[in-house]
Amino acid sequence: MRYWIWLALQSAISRKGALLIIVFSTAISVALLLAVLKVRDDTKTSFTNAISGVDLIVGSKGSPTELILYSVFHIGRPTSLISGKSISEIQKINQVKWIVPIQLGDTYRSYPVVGTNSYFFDSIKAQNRSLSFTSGQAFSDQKDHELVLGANVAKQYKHRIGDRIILSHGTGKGPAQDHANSPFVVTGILAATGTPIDNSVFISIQSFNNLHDGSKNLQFAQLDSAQYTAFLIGLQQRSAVFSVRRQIDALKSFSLMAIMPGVALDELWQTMEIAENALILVSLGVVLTSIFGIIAALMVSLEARGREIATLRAIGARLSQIFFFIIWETFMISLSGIVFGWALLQITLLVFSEWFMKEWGILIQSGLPSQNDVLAILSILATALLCSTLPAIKAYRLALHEGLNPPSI
Amino acid sequence: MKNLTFAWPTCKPLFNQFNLQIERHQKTYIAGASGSGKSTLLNLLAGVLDTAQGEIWFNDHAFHQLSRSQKDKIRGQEMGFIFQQFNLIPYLSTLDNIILPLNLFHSRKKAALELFESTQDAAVYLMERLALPIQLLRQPVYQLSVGQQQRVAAARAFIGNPKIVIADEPSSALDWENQAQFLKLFLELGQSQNITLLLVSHDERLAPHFDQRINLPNGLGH
Repeated sequence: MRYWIWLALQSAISRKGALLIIVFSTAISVALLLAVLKVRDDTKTSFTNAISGVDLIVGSKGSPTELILYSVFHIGRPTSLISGKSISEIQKINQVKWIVPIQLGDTYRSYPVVGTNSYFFDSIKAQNRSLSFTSGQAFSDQKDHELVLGANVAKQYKHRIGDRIILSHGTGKGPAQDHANSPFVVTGILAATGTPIDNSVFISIQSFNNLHDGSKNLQFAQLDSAQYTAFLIGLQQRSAVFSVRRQIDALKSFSLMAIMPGVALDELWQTMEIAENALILVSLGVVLTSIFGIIAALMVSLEARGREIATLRAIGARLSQIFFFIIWETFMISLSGIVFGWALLQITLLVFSEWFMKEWGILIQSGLPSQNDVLAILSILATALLCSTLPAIKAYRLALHEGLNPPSI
Repeated sequence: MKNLTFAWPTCKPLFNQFNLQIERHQKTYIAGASGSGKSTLLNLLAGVLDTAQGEIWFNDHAFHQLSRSQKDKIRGQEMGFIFQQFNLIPYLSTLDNIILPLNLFHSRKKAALELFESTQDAAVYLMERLALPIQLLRQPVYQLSVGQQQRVAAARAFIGNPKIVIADEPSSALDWENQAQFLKLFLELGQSQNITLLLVSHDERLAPHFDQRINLPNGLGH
């Protein structure tokens, strides 16, 4: 066996130019395939991790999907708001660690304005990462007219710290809808997260209320009287989530609903089954194309080896040895192609991960291959090996005659 | 060693009830023009073609009863072939080509190591006997001349003490002078190592050097 491995290596070295091309094309196919699988997985992960670090989202009773859509993705609007008075009730529940309120309704050039408090930036995670500022810092809860921009908003309008911004009431369409008399100052710009946070503008609850009260005076004590779109809640211990949810749902006077964002996001993703199926179909297509490409290349290379195999046969090499001789090469080529392809993808991801995040808002990370990746790689390897047995058998049979009656050179 | 008996009736119209016997340690010349069934005969002898009917005996092995892989093994262990086109492995050196059968078959390696310190010594000995310059040892065979390649093919056939060496038109690629010289070395080597020699050719000038001459039924020599 060792001799055959050595012989296969010598043979491969003598054809290194052609084999390198095969290895390279295999690598490209594998990289492409793994990239498609990765995008598929990471799109889902990006989506279902759009908001994390939050144990419960509270809104007025209704559909959990709608609550997720308007509170996290800023799509649609709640049918009713929740009263600020409920804050103190929720705070009384054991295990509740913090409450971050959310108010929606205004826009800045079609980007949603989120009224919240500075605690938002400390406690909310996107894609399991804490929020960070590329420049500046969070607004102060104590000061009016300060604002924080999401990464995309800042990028699109090239805003910097200190810029003055005028927000619009509602969607900003129609006459006299601007809050023109109360311009805001940019205090911070968030780093890209690949979530709706990138497309949002954040102001403090006080500023939000002041815009709509028309009152010039800041009345920080009167938070209770305001109305909110949703609350984000963090708990002391995650294990208490079911009990807390029950207690919030049971608060008689407020008609509230608490949902677990992870579960709701999963459910929402499942409604997009068609999109996922399409991605699976694309991946399957890429797998098949990769496998066919590799096989075609191997077939061509085996055609060229007829004479060599004939000689070995004539000298007395057995079928099993010829088989090993051919399949070993296929194995080595496929394997090095796969390893090379995987490395290629990892390097690409390392280099372009930031760019993907900024331009596409999808967090694609390099890392060990997933279960699906391994499955796809193994199926490529198995198919390549299986298909190389065909030329191996053909070579063995042909060799019988050619070995002894070789075609003239 | 039992005599190599060789017979088959109505396998193909090519050989009808054909009988052939090659004595061990003899030098046999088989005369065959192209189309005379020479290739079929060699393929049968080598155990590469299956017989439809009849029997082929090689030593004690009944080829007509053995499986393909068993015949492959016997061919590799006990036979040496010199092909018309030499069929060397182009990417291997002269040395590696010569010792190829030793690496594929343990019994041949053992036979070679009984007489020589190493497989390389066995190869060098044969190179000397065949008048191949030793400097060629490490050279890739594709850099060798036609005459040199033929001798490498001969060395590969003789190494590890096969029972029989079969040469198929070994001289057709060479001019007459080289042919004669190669034939002389070929016969000397066979004689000194007690190896049965079988040469298939259409060149009648080679015939007188052999102990036995066989005409194929269809070609019938000249």
